[in-house]
Amino acid sequence: MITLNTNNFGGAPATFKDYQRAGICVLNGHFSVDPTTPEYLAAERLELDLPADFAMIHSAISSAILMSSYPIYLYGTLLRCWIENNKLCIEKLTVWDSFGLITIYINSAFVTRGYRGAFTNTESTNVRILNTDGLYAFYQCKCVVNDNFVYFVATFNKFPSSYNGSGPFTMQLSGFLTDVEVEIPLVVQSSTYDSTIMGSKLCTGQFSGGNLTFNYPTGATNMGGSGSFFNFFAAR
Amino acid sequence: MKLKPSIVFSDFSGTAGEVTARKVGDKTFLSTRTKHSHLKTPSQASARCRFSDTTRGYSSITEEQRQGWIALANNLGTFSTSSGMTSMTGHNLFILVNTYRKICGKPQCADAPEHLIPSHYIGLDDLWLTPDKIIFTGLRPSSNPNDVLLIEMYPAESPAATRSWNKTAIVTVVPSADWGDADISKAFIEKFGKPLELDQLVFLKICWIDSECGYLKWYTMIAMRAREESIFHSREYVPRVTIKTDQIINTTTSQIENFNYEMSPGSKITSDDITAKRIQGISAGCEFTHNGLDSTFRFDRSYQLSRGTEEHNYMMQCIEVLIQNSSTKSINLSNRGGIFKAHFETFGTYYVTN
Repeated sequence: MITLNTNNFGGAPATFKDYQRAGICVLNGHFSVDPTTPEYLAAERLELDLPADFAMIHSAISSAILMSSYPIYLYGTLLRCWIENNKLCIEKLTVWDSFGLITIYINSAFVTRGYRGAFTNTESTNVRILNTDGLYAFYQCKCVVNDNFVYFVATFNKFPSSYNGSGPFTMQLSGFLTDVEVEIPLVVQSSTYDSTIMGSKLCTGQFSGGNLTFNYPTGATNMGGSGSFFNFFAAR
Repeated sequence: MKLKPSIVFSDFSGTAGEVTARKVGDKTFLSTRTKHSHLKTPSQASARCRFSDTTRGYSSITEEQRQGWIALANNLGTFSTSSGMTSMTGHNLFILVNTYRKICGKPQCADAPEHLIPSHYIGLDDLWLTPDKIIFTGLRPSSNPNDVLLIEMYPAESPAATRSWNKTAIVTVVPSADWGDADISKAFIEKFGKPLELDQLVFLKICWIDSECGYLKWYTMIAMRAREESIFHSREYVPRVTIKTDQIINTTTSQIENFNYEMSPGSKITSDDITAKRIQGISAGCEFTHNGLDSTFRFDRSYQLSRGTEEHNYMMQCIEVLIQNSSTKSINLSNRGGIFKAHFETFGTYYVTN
């Protein structure tokens, strides 16, 4: 675990589970940003200072997810995120500032570029859904496992929606590591949406014991269902 | 032409018309006088214009400002450089600093800077000097954010050329190495009009120089013959696995605004930043052809997070980036989750699976 104690937006220290090597790093964590602080207002981008001995000084482009405090639906979007001069940098988007605290989720890998050499094909792990309640079915699913971290992306033909209630819902999986504990954003934008509202509907999910557990806020409508997805790296 | 009388009236020296005569020992040589073509390459024109502009700039500054440059030059005094001891007048210092500033795209500075920063050596892993490619790899970054890479070269005309360090000319200035790479293949052709030939001797000077207030002091000097293998490690050239915007061919239905894609090892991971737009049709995706990647790569796929542009409310989607590189060289960006938005960005770091 690493704690990033200082930043340029007046925020509290942020803690991340980490895997660090010179060529690839994985960070898992989230932190809050108060969009009313003078430091935030003055910042052109968000910067958190990495430890001086962090394994990577510069990275290629990676990503983070912004989750707003929009009531019930926590609308948000994807942000650019990268490491530069020993700082974790995140794109600043002010679209949802009026709704209060912003949560930034980072469950990403960071790599360097400039490699010249041979490649080996990526080996995927077969993950299956064990639920028999008919609420879940993968559309696309790729899971990559190694000794140090995992990568998991899934889109769904079937996924619980708010019409199925608030939950909690648990997707039971066969083949996903039981030692991965990570909280991730789930993109649960249904096909029915209000074109005047920015962003996509989000909720949080927790991987633990090889399963995914999540719920929908009370009063939510048109959340989840077919087309929902997640995509993350997680350090072991 | 002088005519020196002799018994056989055969001694000539000097020039008459198109003929030049010269006597070496007891032999008289005649040759056609070389005419200056008065042609100049765009690069020569640019360099001469830059120099004359900068020279004119010195005459237009105030006397007080000139004294500032003279004082700065006096402070430098006589100093050692990679080519020996040297000193400069205020005028020369003004020309030198502002010439490099102009090359780096900076405006001329009339006032002498408070201090000057000497250029410094580079560190690198390897270099290819081939007819197709001139590329540095593994360049160690400079700690000064204002530093740029200054590259001077002289491709010798004669295989016996020696001590041609005073003939090098600026080929290009590279603002920063691209993950340790500096590819100056195009800049070399623009400068010299033709590629290197195998076995051609090349004199090369390269240094990091401060673009604000740098002056040439220390620089790395490399004199080597062009060859197919790399200069320092005798390696065959292997390109990075990248696809860039200029390697994409737009179609009537889709348009790429930005495509910056590269693979890193472990096993295959892509980091990319892509902006695309579907301009007609109803398909939930975009398709293009490309001319990147070598034949080693046949079929690569990643599932990536994506967002619509601001006009599309930054709505998220999952995009499949499918790159085919065998019988067809195509790229398909297809919606696999969320709501498709026709103008979107997909970026980040993801595993590439097949």
